[in-house]
Formats: sequence, structure tokens, C-alpha cells
Amino acid sequence: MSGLMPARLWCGALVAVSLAISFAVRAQTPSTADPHAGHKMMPMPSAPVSADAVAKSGQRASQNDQPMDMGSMQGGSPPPDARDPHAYSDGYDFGPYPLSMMDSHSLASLLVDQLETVRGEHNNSTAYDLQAWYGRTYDRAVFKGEGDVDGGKLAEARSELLWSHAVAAYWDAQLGLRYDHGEGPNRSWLAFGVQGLAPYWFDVELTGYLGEEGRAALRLDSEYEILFTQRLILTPRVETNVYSKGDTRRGLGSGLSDITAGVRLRYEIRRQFAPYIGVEWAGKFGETQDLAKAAGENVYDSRVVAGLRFWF
Amino acid sequence: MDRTGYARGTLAPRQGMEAEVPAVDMPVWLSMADMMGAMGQDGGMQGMNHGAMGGMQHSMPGMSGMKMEGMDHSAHGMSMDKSQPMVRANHARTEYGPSVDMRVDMPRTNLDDPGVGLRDNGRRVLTYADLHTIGGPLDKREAEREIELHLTGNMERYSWSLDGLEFGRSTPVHFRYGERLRVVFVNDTMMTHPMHLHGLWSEVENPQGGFQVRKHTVSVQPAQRVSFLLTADALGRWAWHCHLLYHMEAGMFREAVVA
Repeated sequence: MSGLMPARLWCGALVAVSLAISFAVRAQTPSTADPHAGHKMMPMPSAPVSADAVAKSGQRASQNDQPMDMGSMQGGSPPPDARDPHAYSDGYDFGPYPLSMMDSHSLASLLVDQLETVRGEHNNSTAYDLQAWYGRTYDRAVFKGEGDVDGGKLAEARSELLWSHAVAAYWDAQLGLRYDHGEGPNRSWLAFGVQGLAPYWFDVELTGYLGEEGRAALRLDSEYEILFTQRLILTPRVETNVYSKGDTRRGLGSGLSDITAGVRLRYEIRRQFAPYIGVEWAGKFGETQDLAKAAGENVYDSRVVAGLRFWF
Repeated sequence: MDRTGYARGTLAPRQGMEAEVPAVDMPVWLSMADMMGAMGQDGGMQGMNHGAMGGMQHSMPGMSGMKMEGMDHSAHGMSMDKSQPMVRANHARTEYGPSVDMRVDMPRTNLDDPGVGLRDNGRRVLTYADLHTIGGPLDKREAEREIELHLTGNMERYSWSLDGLEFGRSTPVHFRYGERLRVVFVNDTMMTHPMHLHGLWSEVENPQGGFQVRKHTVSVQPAQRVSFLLTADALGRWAWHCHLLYHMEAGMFREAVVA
């Protein structure tokens, strides 16, 4: 790895994190305004209508603009004159033996997003990152697991079991438990957060945690897919952790603890099965960095990864 | 629209005849009209594949803020075809939640659009505007009432529904035995849905409200409004669903009760 690569990735990481946060915040804002307020049409016929430009608009229209008004195209709250979807039933129901389609059945899925061998500057290991769910469209149990296996031993692992509830077209709210294991004492946390698709197609997970001894933590994970073709896909990904309070026995200090940024290029032999290669950069910061230095560990690491992504 | 393959069939007066296989059409973008109905129409249906689409694709998840600036038709001479009246869609209150990723307020009503991927390809493509059932409607009565159903979905959740409600969360639609009524479909998605009502004829109207064609399955294009009249002359419980069977299974399904 050249010295240049980490610096580039580092900049990319910061940009991606800040973009992801700003878009995640923006995605929430329309609900606070009146989504049914009329909006004046501005003359600008040939320009692409970008979400960015749209987000900046917000003028209220006068009554005589009414016929050309558009409400928002998703989300919001229904206007008072919205139709009652059950009004056509006149009280009829499905009787004692209702038909049931797939939407009433619980389904399950497992996505192993990363299962890879990691060749670092200082160390080699095997890493995994997976997500599984069981349930229906709007309420599911979600399991998230991420960890490193080093020398046949679980070095660092985070496992979460969450209830995931759909709250908006592209967003789920999640509530559950997180369990940290591997080296050092195990830690349990209460987990709460959001997972969804931010504008411009960023996949975002933002989770807050409350742990024992008054610990609090925040984790942001964002990834983006660039489709060169339908099968060849580049995925930049950034993950960062912030802790409110040090946990020296697990090598964690308070404040910004770590950032991992990487890109993976996968080839989908089938949709469900894709080998990939990638590069990743990981750094420890603040008090966590101090702890690592004191323990004689490296604080920055550039890695080459190769692995498999699969789901069913 | 992606192109992943094609099927070929040959109609010939004798065996062994084969026509040249045409080249596969280029992939096309969805147009503004496919997402915004009449708001995205550009002086009728001409020039649909304009450059504005490049920006649209990436802004889709952000449409919650879509306020259509730059779409002032009057200021730019984007004339609306007067023969295709604009009608505001009446959304169900259940279309404002997580089950719906798009709503069209001003759907287009034209029947002469070949549809996504078949426009301006140098070939004559038949549309509903070319279909006329000889002899007119089976029942000459006017509609006594009207019901509106919206074809909805959330492509990020793989959910398909009507009025934002999958079958499992829905209630039946009641037709009173013997009544003549109008059904209005508004497609709030970016896909065409062929809607099949079992047991009863669907007599599709043209945009001016005249009789067009009698069908079992009525295709509704993205951001399109299609209306038809039916006579509830068959007692019973009837399936009514999108004929893309995956959509049906996912919940784009209603029970119609004639009683």
C-alpha cells in the first residue's frame, strides 16, 4: 500500500460521512413542514430537477396557483379530504376463511455482506459482516453481526438483535440489544436507531447505544453502490464509532474512536452470489488512539480484502 | 428500463420460414410523464426522453421534497392537450405511509401511448387508442357512482398494494348487484400494471368519457389514469389483481364482492 492511498480514503471517508449525515437529516425535514402547502412553479424548464434544488424550494403559493400545485410525492400526512380506503367495503369483510397472500406471511432473509480475508500492513485476519431478518414488510426481527477472527480466535465482535419497524417510505426505526464480545470483557447495550435509504441512494445505519456504567455510543455505517454494469458493482463504505465514556479494558476511549473506510468491487455471478476484492483503511482516533499507542498497537492500517457476498 | 433478453416467435404460412431478428432496442429511461403524469407531459407525448431524466433517477428517493420547480407550463408554452382533461387524483389516506414510495397528483389520461420502451422505435405499436369493441357497451346506462383505486407500491420494500394497502390489510370492494359504476385507476408507481377483474367485464372509457373497448384485464401505465364502467351482474366474490403474479402475491390484490 502506498502512503497516498490512506490519505485519499480518509478524505473520501469524511466527505461520505458528512454527506450521509446531511442527507439523513434532510430526509426528515419535510415532515416538519406542511407537506400539502402549495408551491409556486418557478420557470426553469430544461434544468434537471434535482433533489437538491427541490429541497431548497419551499415557497408557498397563493390560491390562484392551485390547479398546478403538486403535493409532495411520498410520505407526509394525509389531507383532511383524503379517501378512506375501507369506504368501498360497505362493512363486508373476508368472512371466516380469508385468503392469504404472501404479504401476510413471515419471510426470512440472510445477507452476508462481507465474508473476507483481510491482509493488513500489520496483521492478517478474517472478517464478517452480515444482516438477517425474519418477519413481514413493516415489522421484522433483524440480526446484525460484525466481527474479526484473528488466529482462529474472535478478536472483536458486535452482535445486535433488533425490532425493525417501518416509519417512512425508505426508513425503518430499530430498537433492541447489542452485545460486544471477543477480546476484553463482554459488553451489553440497549440499541436504538434508524436504517434506510437516504436521498442520492446512500444506505445508512445510524444507531445509538446505552450501556452499563452509564456508557453511551453512536455508530454510523453508510454505503453506496455504483453499478458499472448490472453485475459489476463498486461499493464505497464508511463506518465510524463514537463513545461517551472510555472503556480501557476494551481499548476504547471517549469521543471519536475509529473510522473504517473502504471500497469493494464485486461481480455478481448470480444476484445472490458475488466474489469481491477491495481496499480498506482503518484508523483509531482521540483517546482510543492514545490507548492503542500505549499498548504498542498500530493506530492506522491499510488493508487489501478479498471475499464473498451472498444472500438468500 | 433494463434489457436482459428477448423472446421471438414467427407467424408464417409454412414451416421453416424465418424473418430477420431485429436488433434489441436501446435501453430507455423512464420519462417525466412516467413519474409525474400530466405534470411531466411535454406538449402531449412527443419528445418524452428529454435530458431532464438524468437528474431524476438519482433524486427519486428524495421526492418527498419534490415540488416541481421549473415545471411552469404556462410560462413556457408547454400546452396541455385540451382533449385530454387533467384530473386531480384523490389519494387514500393510507398512501401517506411507509407502503408508498410515489404519488401522482395529476395523472395523464391519454390512451395512445405505446408505453415505456416502445415509444419512437420506428415501428407501429398498437395502443388502447387503436382498440374499439364493435357494437358499443353491453350496458348503455350511465354510471350511478364512481370508485377510485390507486395502484401503489414501494420498490425499496418490494411491496405492492392498492391505495397503499396490501391485500392482508385491505377490505373487500362492494359492488351492489345490478349497478352500473365507474372504476378509476390511478397508477402511482413507475411500472405498468395489468389489472384483472374476474367475473365482470371492464368497459374502458376514452379520455373524453366515451366507450372505447371491453376487456378482462386493463393495463394501467405509470402515472396514468384509466377509467372503465362495469355492470355488477355476477353475484359472488371475485378476485381483482395485478396480473404480474409477483405483484399479486405481494399484495396488489382486492376482493370484489357483488351482493
